[in-house]
Amino acid sequence: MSRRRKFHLYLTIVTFSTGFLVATSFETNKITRKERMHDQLFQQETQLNDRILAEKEQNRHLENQLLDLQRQVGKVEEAMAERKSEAAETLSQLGAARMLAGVVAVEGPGIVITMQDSQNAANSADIANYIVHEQDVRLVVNELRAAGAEAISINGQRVVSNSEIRCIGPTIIVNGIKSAAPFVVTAIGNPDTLDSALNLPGGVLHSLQDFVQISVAKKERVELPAFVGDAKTKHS
Amino acid sequence: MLQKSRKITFILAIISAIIGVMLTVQLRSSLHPIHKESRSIAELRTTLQKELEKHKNLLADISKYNQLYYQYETSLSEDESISVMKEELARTRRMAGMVGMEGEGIVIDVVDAHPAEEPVVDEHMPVPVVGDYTIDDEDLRWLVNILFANGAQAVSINGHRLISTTAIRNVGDVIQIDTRTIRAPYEIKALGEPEVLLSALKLEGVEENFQLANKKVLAEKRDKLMISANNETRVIQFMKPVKEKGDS
Repeated sequence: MSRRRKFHLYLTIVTFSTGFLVATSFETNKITRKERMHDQLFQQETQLNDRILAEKEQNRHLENQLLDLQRQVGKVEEAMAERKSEAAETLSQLGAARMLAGVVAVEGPGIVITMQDSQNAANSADIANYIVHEQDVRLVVNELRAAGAEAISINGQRVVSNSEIRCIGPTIIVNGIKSAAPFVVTAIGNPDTLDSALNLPGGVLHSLQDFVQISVAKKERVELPAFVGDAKTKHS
Repeated sequence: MLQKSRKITFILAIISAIIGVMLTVQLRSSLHPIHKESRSIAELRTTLQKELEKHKNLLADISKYNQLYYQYETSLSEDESISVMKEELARTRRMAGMVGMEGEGIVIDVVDAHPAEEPVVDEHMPVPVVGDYTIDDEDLRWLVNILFANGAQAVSINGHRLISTTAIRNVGDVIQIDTRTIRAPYEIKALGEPEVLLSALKLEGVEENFQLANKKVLAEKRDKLMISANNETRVIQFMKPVKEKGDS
C-alpha cells in the first residue's frame, strides 16, 4: 500500500512537471514571436531616433550656414551702403523690413510669459476651465500686440504675419511646428508697458490667473529666432 | 481495488497537469506586461517629419540667400547691385505685409441674418435671440486663425491687412483693429487655396458659431483677389538684429 502511495506521489510530480513543460514551451514559442516583433519595433524606434538626431544635427548645421550666409550678405550690403548713399537708404529700409517680416533673428528688451495648465486641473469638476486653450494664448499675444510689442515668438517659433496658433491636446502648433507645454510667449517691446498692459485690472492676467498658471517676467534682453522657411509665402 | 486506485492515479495526473499549465500561464503573463511601443513610434515619426520639413525650409532659405549673394557678387555696376537690393527689399516687404498682394482666395462676408427672410428651422438648436450675443474680438481672431492654419497667406478684415503685430480687440462696444474701429458687416478677405479654406470653414463650424450671434456667413471663392497693404507706420524702437549666433 505504501508503495502504491509513493507511486502516486511520483506520478503527480511527473505529470505536474510535464504540464509545466508543455505550457512553457507553448508560451515560449508565443513569446519569442512577440519578442521578435517587439525587437523589430525597438529597432525601428532606435532607427527613427537616430534619424531624428541626425536630422536635428544637420538642421543645426544648416541654421548656422544660413546665419553665416546672412552675415555675408549683410557685409556685402554694408559695403555697398558705404559706397553709395542710395544703397544706404535702401539698406536701412531693408533692415527694418527684414525685422518686421521676421526673417532675421532679433534681440531687445522685452517680456517672457509662461503659461501652463493649472496643477489642480485634475481635481476640479470642470477640467476644461483649468487648462490653457489656444484662445488664451491668442489673448495674451493679442494683448502684447496692442501694447506695442514689436516681435513675438511662441515656444521658439517667430510669429509672423500669417502665423497660426492652434492647440491640440497639451501641444501648441505655431507655423506648423508642434511643441509641448509650458507655452512660453516671448515679446520684444517696452517691458514696463507690456507688463502693465497685461496686468490691467480686469485685464488678461487677471482673468486668466485664477484658472491657469501664468507668470510674467520682464527681461532686459530677449532673443527671438528668425522665421525659417518662407516657402509658405512664396507664390503670389 | 486495483481498478479504483488506477482511476485515482489517472485523475490525479490530469489535475496536476492542468494545474501546471495554469500556473505557467499565470506566471508568464504577469511577468510580461503588454508593450505600448506603437504609440511612441507614431510620435517619433511626426517628430522626424517636422525635422525633415524644417530641413527643407532651411535649404530653401539657404538657396535664397545664396542666390542673393550671388546676384550681389556678379552685378557689374553699383546701380545693378542697388537694384538687386531693391528687389530684395520688395520681397521682404511683401512678406511683412507692407505691400498689397493679389491671387486666388476667398471672401467671407459676415452679415446680419434676417429672421424674416430666412426662418431658422433647426429643431435641435433654440432660435438665437437677437442682440443677446454679438460678435466679439475673439470670434474674429478665431476665424482668422482658422484661415491662417489652413494656409492663408494674407488676410484683411474690412480692408485692414493683418500683419504680425496686428491686434484685434474689443474697445467698449466696438472692435478695433490696431487703432482703427471696424463695424459690422465684416468683410474678411483671405489669399490661399480657395477649396482648402472653404472646407476648413465648414469643418470648424464657422457658420454655426456665427449663427449664434445671429450672423450669416457668406463665403465665396474668387479667382482674383486683391489684398491691400498694411499702411500703419511702425516705428522700431526696441528690437535690433542679432549679430552673433547665440547659444540657442
